[in-house]
Amino acid sequence: MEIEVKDLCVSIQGKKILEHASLSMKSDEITVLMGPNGSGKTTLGMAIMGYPGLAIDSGEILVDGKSILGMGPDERAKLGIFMQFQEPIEIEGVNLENFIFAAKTAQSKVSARQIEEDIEKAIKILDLKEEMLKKDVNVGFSGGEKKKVEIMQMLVLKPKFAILDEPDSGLDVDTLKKVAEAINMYEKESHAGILLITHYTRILSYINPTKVYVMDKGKIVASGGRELAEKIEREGYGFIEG
Amino acid sequence: MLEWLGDFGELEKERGELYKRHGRPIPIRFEDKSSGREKGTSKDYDIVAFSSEHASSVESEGMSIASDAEIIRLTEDVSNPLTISIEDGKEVTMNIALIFDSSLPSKIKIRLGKHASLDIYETFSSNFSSDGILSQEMELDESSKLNLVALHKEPANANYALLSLVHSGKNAEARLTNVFAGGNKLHHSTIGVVEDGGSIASSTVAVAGSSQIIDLSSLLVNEGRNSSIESLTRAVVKDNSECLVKELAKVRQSAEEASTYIEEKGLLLNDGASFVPMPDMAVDTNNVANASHSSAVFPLGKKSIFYIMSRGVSEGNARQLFATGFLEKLLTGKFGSEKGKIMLEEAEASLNSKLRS
Repeated sequence: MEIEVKDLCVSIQGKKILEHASLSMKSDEITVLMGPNGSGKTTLGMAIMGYPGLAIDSGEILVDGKSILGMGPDERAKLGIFMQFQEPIEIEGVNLENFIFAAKTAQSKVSARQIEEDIEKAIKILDLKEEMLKKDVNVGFSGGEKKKVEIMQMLVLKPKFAILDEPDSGLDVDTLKKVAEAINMYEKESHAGILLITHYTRILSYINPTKVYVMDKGKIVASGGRELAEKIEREGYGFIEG
Repeated sequence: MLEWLGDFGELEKERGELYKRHGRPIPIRFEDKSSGREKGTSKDYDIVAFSSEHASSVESEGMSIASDAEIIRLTEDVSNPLTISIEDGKEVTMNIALIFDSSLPSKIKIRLGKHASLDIYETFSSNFSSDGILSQEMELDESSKLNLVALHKEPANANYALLSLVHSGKNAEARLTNVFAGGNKLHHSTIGVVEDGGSIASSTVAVAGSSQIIDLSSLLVNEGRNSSIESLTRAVVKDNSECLVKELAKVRQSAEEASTYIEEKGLLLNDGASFVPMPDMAVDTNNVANASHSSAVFPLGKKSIFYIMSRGVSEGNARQLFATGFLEKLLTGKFGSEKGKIMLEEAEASLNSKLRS
């Protein structure tokens, strides 16, 4: 799968958030999107996933050459796009296991046994407790558990392209390592494309990016390889203003 | 006349004060009479009670009635109500169908003797979309147990008023579950009184749609020592519908070590929907184990729907997932017996159908 964001301008209630943002990503690659707080990184991820609260003023989002702008988030998910959220919402009364079953069966025809096996495997990889499956989705989960549960959903839903929005924020070293291992393993096994959104470089100690983009004030202001992330590690984001 | 109803006038006055304080946003009016038939009910009942201005026998299309079912015509003579009386020490489980095709008032009395137990599952429906008025008196003698589950699935253009009077005697337990999945304008009033060591646990689940108005009000009185009252309400409100919940918990001076709790929660599925919680308390003793209330309104936001849809679930199913999850909490554990399980399926199907409509 190849995703191209072309000259994208996005606003929220009249306020411009993205201005002529362009980048391309594809399967088997880990693309990292970095930038200071409020630079528009999450908005870009939400725009690709189809959040209805955003106004697409101009530009295109193409998947394998075809526009997805007219598609709802559920249709984009069925194409194979997945988003891990920074702050996933709580769903009272719906247990996690049922939610994953509902999501998986909405996307593809797969046996209940297969879903159970995939859930079991994901739980082991992420070192999650099995009892969590019986709890309401994200209700009472710690910050680390929420991140892990989001990654667990990715492992079970098996998307072709995953947008991971700050999977590293607020995690202790051990949890960060587990989450990074799961992302690496998934990328290698499934050959999926990954867009990793972060403003810290510490997750890059465990994940090797193919490309790095830097965003500031809604624009892509720099692109390169791992060396760009290393520069940010050394110098911070000050250089992008120069 | 029940002795405890001697205080009824005073309780009514207190309820009037509650309205005075909060206003009465909904006048009790019953109009929009029109015909319409409900189809697809298929269940065996122990008692089929009906009130009809149209027919002298039960003619409920699609309704299967067990051969030994008692068929009773409810009359407007409220001094001669349908009475379900359980003798001391007896345990009974029953299904009742209540078909309202008359706007004339009807009355049901449930009486439990000492140490008696009754699991009763009531299904309210109507064949002609009539307006209905029903009062239901429940009197529990010492150490008796009542589990009453009422499923309201009247047609969408039926208007009705219900009055539930509950007296939980010494060490008696009343568990009341009302599921509102039908009707148009609906007013449900509950007056409950609990004696020493007795309890009332009331759960109300409602879905309001298609510009419907659901008006729920309660006056719950801890009369005796160590008495306990809990009233939980959850409503999903959609379209331009309104749901109002006004409850006053009163702990009398005699009710030492009593506990009372009111919880009112509403989920709004869209902008035009409205849920107005009004919990209130009046505690006349200094020695109370617990007296608290909570209320909350949850508007279902774009981000919440987006989260579910990002997993491949359609918008309609995403809304339904939230709504059923929200209501499920109050339905869990209320349907213990085999008849109860059938009732739970029916209640869930009715709620889901209303959520989808």
